[in-house]
Amino acid sequence: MWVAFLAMTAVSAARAQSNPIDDVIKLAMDAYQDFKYPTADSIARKVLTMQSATSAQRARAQMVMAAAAYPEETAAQKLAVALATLKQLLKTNYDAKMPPELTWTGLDSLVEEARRTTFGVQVTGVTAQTTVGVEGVAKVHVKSNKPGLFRLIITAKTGSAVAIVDSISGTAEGDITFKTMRDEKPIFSTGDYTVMITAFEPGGRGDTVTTQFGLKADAPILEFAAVPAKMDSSKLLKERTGKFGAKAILPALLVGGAGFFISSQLHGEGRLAQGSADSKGMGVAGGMFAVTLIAGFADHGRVIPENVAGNKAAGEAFQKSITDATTENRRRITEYKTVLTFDMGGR
Amino acid sequence: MRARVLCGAFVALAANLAAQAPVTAPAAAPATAPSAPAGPNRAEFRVGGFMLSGERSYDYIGPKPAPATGSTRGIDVLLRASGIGVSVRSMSGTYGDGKLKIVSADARLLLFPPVFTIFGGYGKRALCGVSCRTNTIIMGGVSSTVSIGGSGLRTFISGAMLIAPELKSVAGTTTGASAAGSGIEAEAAILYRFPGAPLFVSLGYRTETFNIKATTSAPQAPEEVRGLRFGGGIQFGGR
Repeated sequence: MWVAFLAMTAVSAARAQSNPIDDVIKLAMDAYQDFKYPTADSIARKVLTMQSATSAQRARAQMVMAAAAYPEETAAQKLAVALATLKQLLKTNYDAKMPPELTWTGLDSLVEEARRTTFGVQVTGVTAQTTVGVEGVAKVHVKSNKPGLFRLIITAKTGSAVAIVDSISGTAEGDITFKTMRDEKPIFSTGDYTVMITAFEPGGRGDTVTTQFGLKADAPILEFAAVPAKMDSSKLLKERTGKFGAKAILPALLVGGAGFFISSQLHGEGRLAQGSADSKGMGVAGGMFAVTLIAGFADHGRVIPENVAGNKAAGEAFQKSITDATTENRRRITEYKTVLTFDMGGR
Repeated sequence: MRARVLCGAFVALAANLAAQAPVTAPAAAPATAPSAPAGPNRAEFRVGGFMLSGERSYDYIGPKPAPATGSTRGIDVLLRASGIGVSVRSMSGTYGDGKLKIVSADARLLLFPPVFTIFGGYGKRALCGVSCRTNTIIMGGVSSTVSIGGSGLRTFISGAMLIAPELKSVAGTTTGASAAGSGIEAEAAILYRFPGAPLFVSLGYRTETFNIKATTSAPQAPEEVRGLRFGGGIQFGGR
């Protein structure tokens, strides 16, 4: 009795953890196993109408529908329906393989025929990616049965802004790479995104296949140190004193007047006081006056070495602040990480 | 006459101070930056030679003779900081027929900034003909040096009073004896410092009057030496 109780508990727990849609698919597969093909088809079609069904669940439902339409029992075979279902399935699951419990040789041949005759795309190799630094490259791997044009569009689930648009063309298999940094700034902000890959079949019927899945971005805000753009000229010191200009008039008068006075008026004691003025001295006095006056008006100011040095130091400090901020920002960019987690089962 | 000279010198220096004041104002600067120093107050060292080309007038016994032309050559050394300095000068001149030489040397202590300096000094002055009459000189005066902005030109005016006290001879000899005297020294000049080189030249006019008072054995001997003053040399520091 205890063993039975434990078994029932385990089954209940397993059921509680399983997805209801998976349960429905299992019912459809059970019906197929019981040779109840119409029932299996009917149940599987209900999965396609469920809004919450993931692309992986839809693919499995389509497999059940294809198997139900083309069983080994000849009388129950509906070739056209099975082929159409398989083509629909392979369009977005080019590498899809029928589970052993559903397939048989004839159905496998039909899958191969559908694979040959339809333009199918498989998006694989996408896992959680960490993008680092300026490189910031992430990629989505695509594969199809013929060369085509693949366009990738990533949009935020909330809002309509297009975050990424990139494309690859002319190959049947390859990576669509895209940068998570642009202009040295992260494109993504933390949140949920939808990745949509549209494949265009070149020429022929020009089929277009669209597959989409979810993307979760963990992108912390990248803050930059402010890089000073312009030096504050108001903080610069005057490197020269003001022009002397008219202020030279007084010193010119004084030195010229003193020269004149000394050479013409100032004489010795006693009888020497009768001496005459020295014309050369008066000429020199006039020259000193004129030269001083000219020098004053021609003056451009005295260089202030302390201020010149101060301004030079300020300029060097300004350059250093730019260099430091740029280096710091480069370091932040290099160390920055955006973690992208792809959810291939999501829509 | 002396009163006129000294009065004029003080008036000139006061006016020079007024002229210098705007020049020394520091440049407007933010609190975070070093400000300009105030005016021409940097330490200065100057060594130069000069030549005085002019004439000597003197009065002696008999009719007044004509001034004798000649020249004086000398060396001037200046070392000063913003508020204090020393100056040493030595010069020797020959006038007339070459038999008369005037030799002097002095040292001065300078106080206050160049724009207004009071100085005092001590020196010797000798007038040599057949024999030498030597006087010990004590001097005091004022001078002013004004920088004309950043042109490299400076104006210099100076006036001083010279006093020679009477000295007794050494007992039993004539050695060391000198008569009392007094005089005036005045000078006006411009100095130009070449940009980028520690060299300067100067041009000016200088006069020196000296009067040895009469003694029991010699009459009063007033004389005057004046003329154009040319100079040049090397200079470090200063404005």
